[in-house]
Amino acid sequence: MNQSSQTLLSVNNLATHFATEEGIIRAVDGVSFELKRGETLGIVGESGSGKSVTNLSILRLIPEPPGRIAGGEVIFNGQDLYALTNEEMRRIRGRRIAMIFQDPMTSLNPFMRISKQLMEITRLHLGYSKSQAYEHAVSMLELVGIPDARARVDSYPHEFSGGMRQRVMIAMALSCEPELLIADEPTTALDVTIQAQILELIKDLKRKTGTSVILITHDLGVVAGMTDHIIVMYAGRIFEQARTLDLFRAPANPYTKGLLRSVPDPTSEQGELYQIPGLPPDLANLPKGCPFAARCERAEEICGREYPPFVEVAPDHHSLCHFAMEVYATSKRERESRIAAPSATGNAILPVTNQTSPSNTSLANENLR
Amino acid sequence: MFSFIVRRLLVILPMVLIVITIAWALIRLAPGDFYATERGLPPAVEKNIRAKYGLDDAWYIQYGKLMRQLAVLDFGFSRKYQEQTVNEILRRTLPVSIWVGLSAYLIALVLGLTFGTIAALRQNSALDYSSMAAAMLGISMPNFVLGPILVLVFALTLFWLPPGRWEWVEVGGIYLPNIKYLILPAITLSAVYMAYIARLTRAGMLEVLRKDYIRTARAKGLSERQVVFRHALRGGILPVVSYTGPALAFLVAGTVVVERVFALPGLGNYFINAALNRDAPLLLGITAFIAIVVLVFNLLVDIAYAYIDPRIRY
Ligand SMILES: Nc1ncnc2c1ncn2[C@@H]1O[C@H](COP(=O)(O)OP(=O)(O)O)[C@@H](O)[C@H]1O
Ligand code: SF4
Ligand SMILES: [Mg+2]
Repeated sequence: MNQSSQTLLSVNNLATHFATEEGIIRAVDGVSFELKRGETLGIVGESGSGKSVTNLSILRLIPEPPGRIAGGEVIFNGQDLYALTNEEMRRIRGRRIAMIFQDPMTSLNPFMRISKQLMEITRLHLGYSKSQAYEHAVSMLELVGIPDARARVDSYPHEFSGGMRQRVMIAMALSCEPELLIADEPTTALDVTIQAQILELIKDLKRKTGTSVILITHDLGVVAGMTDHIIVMYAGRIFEQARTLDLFRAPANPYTKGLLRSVPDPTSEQGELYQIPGLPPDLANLPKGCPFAARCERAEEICGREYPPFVEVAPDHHSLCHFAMEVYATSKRERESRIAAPSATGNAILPVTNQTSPSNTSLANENLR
Repeated sequence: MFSFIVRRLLVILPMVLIVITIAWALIRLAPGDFYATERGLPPAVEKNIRAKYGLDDAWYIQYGKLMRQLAVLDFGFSRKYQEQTVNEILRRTLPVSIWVGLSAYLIALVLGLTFGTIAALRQNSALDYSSMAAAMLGISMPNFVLGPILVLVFALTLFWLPPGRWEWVEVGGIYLPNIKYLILPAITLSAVYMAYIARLTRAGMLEVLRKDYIRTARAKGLSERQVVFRHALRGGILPVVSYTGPALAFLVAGTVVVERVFALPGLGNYFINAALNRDAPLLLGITAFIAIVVLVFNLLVDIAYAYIDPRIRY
């Protein structure tokens, strides 16, 4: 969290709409954030909250039609991406901003050898010769920990397991040493043990290359140990935005608190996992007022009537809620009582892999620092 | 793969046997035979002839004879064209049918793939709608209607092309068709396949273009052309490859009609004549030949499919 470091990406008031038969879907509606060089940003939210669309919009990969970037700007390295020609944008994709996707089983071309898929990107952006690109492909596979890389580089994707394919995707994404890596739920489709390995790999490569990372997930546990900042999204909007530690210490939004409660706690024997009741709203017919109102435990009459304000509850910590200050204060109080009685933590936040955070036994310990 | 090919070749034998048996049974079951004409031959003469060709032998003797003929792929002399063997007729007529059939399928492939891909890339554009409307027309227009229309326009009105018949030209010892005679039959025969292939390609491409790996290809920074040709096309044409097997079977049926319309000296025309004349040896010979060709082509298509899609292993 080096405050003086330079801004790499700044997204301002982004809005992306889809024209559907039910009406206009505001999949992303007024999203703003900044990412500094070398930092990692986590974007969290339930499925359908607009995480993927936000990031596809940054890369201008929204299918048009039905999609349309309806407003806002994306400044990458001082350059307005929405002012670029298609040709200029293509030189940024894959080379300076790379993206890996949720499902490694379907994200690689099943008809093309891994070697060819890896070579394609360095030949395109770095002008490598065939043999250079081939050697580079082998070394990238070694870098992401594929055993016997040279022997396996000519395989087809179906000959690799899911975890191995995601490693290939990461190798491909990092081939041109991009300044920004967007990882869209890179572990959601994988087994738990593989998940941890892939996250470890991303963390490790990030340390080696200094790449900035946007890590998208629906699981707050995943981002806890990896990110500097977190954005919590719901219904296409940012509901809470804070530095990672601040968000875990004192969430200021009822939605965030619900997500935190639904993180599985390995130390607790409770079988039943908490789930926020109800379903995300129909984006084509959003009720007026707070989009979360129908599901919110904290909701009051005003929530269904008026759209909530985006409140700065503390420096660098924002929450979209009529009662942001109150929720924040409650969270702080709860934390203090937990510190007093560490055994009563209930749902502690346990990052799946946690090396940068001081401890992964419980949130309480972390708070004692 | 090798054992797959061997297995499939072994299946071809009983399949041909079944086809031939059915054809033979149908010929027997149909009332009348080659000599049952209204010419009213003297009974003694007719009796002699029937004896000569074994027409009054028990069915199993006739069937046994057929099996022997099938084993050596030699069906003896035609009954109508007494001085020619079935194999001679095949050798003479087959090149005509192959030229017409293959040019038709080639035209259909090239234009069908092109229009289908363009339609998919420009989904819902005027180009998309007009090529798909044309395809609909192509599918619903039978070739015995399209053929005469083309003849009327290009032969009888514009006088650009001959209305029918066939001509070989010798080029350095090889006989090639005179292209003027090939054009109209080939186009007539290709229309329906072109239309079908265009629709299959469009649907296949639209499906592939939605796939995750296409998004990956775009995220790599590839141009739209590279995305389509390097990444999308291969998966997009798989339905067309599968269609090529059955298409060939229909193509054979199509040649029969088109050769009739354009009076071509091809296999199909002889096939119809053989059926009308109850020329059993010729009919069975052509049937056996077509059955073998269709089955072998289906095998080739499966091999091509495995070549295109590395996930398929037999
Ligand atoms: N191609 C599309 N057409 C119509 N609606 C879409 C399309 N892609 C996404 N959406 C809408 O955008 C919303 C946000 O989707 P997404 O960003 O994928 O959510 P997630 O947070 O799970 O990544 C979804 O509710 C979906 O309805
Ligand atoms: S504004 Fe109301 S409904 Fe929305 S999150 Fe806050 S308390 Fe809940
Ligand atoms: Mg998503």
